Amino acid sequence: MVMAKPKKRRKIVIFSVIVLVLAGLTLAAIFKKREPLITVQTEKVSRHSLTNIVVANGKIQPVIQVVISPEVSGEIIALPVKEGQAVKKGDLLVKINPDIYIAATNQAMAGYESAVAAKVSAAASLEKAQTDYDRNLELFHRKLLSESDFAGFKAARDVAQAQLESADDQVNVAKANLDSADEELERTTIASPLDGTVSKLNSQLGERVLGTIQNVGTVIMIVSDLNQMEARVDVGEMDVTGIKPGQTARLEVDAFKDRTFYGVVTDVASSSKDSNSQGTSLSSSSSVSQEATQFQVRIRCSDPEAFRPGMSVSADIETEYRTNALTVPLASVTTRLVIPKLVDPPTVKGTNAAKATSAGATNSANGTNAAGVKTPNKASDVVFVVKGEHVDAVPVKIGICDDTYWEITDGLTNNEEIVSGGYRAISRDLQDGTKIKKGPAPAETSKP
Amino acid sequence: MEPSPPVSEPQPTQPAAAATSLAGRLFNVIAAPGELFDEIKSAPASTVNWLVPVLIYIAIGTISACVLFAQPAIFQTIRDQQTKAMDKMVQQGKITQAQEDQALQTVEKFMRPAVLSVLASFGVIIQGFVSVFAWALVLWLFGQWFFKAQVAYVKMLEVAGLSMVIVFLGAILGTLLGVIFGRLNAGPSLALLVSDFDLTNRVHLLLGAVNAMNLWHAAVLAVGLARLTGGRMAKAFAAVFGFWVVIELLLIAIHLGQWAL
Repeated sequence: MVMAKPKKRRKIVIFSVIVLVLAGLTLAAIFKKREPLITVQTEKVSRHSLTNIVVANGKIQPVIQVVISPEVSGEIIALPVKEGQAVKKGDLLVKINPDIYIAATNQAMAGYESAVAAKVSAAASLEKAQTDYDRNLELFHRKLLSESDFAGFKAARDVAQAQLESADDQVNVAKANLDSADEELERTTIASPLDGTVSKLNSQLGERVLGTIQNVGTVIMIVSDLNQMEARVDVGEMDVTGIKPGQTARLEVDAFKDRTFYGVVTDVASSSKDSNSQGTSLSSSSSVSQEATQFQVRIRCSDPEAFRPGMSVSADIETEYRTNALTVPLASVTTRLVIPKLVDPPTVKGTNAAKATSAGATNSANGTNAAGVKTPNKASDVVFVVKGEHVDAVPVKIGICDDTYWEITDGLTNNEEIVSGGYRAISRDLQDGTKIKKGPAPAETSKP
Repeated sequence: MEPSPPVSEPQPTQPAAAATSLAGRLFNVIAAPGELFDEIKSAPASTVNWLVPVLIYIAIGTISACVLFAQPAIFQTIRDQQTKAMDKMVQQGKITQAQEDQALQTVEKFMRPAVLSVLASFGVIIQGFVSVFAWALVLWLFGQWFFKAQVAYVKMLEVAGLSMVIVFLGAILGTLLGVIFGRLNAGPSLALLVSDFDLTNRVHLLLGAVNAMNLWHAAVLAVGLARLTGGRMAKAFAAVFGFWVVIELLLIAIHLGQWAL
């Protein structure tokens, strides 16, 4: 019994210690709940010069390019040029077999001569009829000729007159036919309309080609002025409004990978490429409407180089510039539902700042401003500004951007520390007042 | 006549010790394990001695899982660890960035606190029964091989079951510390000294394995082994602790270190 008492006392002590420890930890757990801690990377707001760039892809083409198609049909009997050959204005390019057109000309000439002869004959007939009419008119006036006989002579004269006029018209028609036949004969010879280079030759000697008078016509060759080249690039409808003639562009041609060229925008299409194709292909309008709307922009290349038509090019068109603008990294800007704070919270440290931040967040959550007026939450561009161990979601106004920075026109000041990573934290996890800890980017933590 | 030999007076018989109640036995695991296991040795086998502690452990473990996964800080830590592991796989080229994004979206969609709690509860149920039966087997084998004692397996099962009191006490402690520090695996161990505990870091796992409750549990098992087999306490401690160290190191080595905590 005596031995049992110390044992009992020991058990009570142990039990009490355990209960006290657990009670203490329970109270600590109740009053010290941990907020979620999000690892982020930070940077300072800084000033940089920005150039807004629109990237577009397309092809190099000559500024002046003439498609040579015959107006008359026939067999090519002379093709004295080769693809890539330089030609001068007036040089013979193609000769089409003129035999049929010579025959037509001769036929037209014969017709013309026949018409002229007919006209002479008609004139002679008229002269005789007129003479007979004049003679018999006097006799009619002397009552030596009956009226019916006189009418016959008069009619004969009128007929002769009409025949002469008809013959004259026939001469004109024959002349026109002759001129047309001459014209077509001339068209069997095609000369270069400009100084340039035969950039593409589709036909061969002896090939039969169709004329363009009544048909689409065979494209025999294309003559281009390769001294003036331009990049024809396609720009999306969202970007085309910022592109204007006179803007500079940096060109990268696939065939000249180690060089960069420069150019100037000379033309921006007024209508899209889709709207141009809709007039010719209504049956495929459904498929056309699903494609992105593109507008053609022409950029004159300033560097003389051995470009060839059809080369692929990528253009960086510089649309806007900012010098020494306030900037943040691209990843720093995201969208949240916020209300712009009407009153700046007092700059205090510790829990007061957290309370002020949480009050702002509460206002945001409730949709009320400082005056208690209910205002609708709206999506706004925000940047998370580091305030001690927490972040504030600060609404900002953004301007232009390049591939690294956003211009900030309102909302931030220089050298403010902002959250620049990780992507998931900024795009989803961070809210106004979230507790953060600074850490390296995920790629760095995995390094040994 | 020779004097009759002296007749020794009969010794008064000791009254039989009253059987301790179940609650008393559970408490004696903490306060007086040696006495408890002496009683267990002489008493008939009882299923209650091991089943009830396991059920209490399962109940506490389930509540612990629900409490811990409901903490925003802990849930965020789990997500950060998942993201970190995925980023590492992307960097090693095992998966693409697109696959990582899709996997994380799926995880976020389905892995809610309630789901994690349910999954953890199943784990606790399995772990509870496996642990008690496994330790009973280990103690029985030690008794057979090292102590050459014929002790029934069910007796060792009672020892292992009753020692689960230490385990569920550790679970309560771990839950409270987890809520206070905002992370899982925040038991009373050297891992509390590590600010950014990483389950993939073997050093962190080693520190986490040096857990006061684990050591206490092993000590109680050693006491039970010694008392039931009648062997030396030092030998029993050496056997149990040696086995415990080997198992901990093995689990950490084969990337199952979270089971060693």
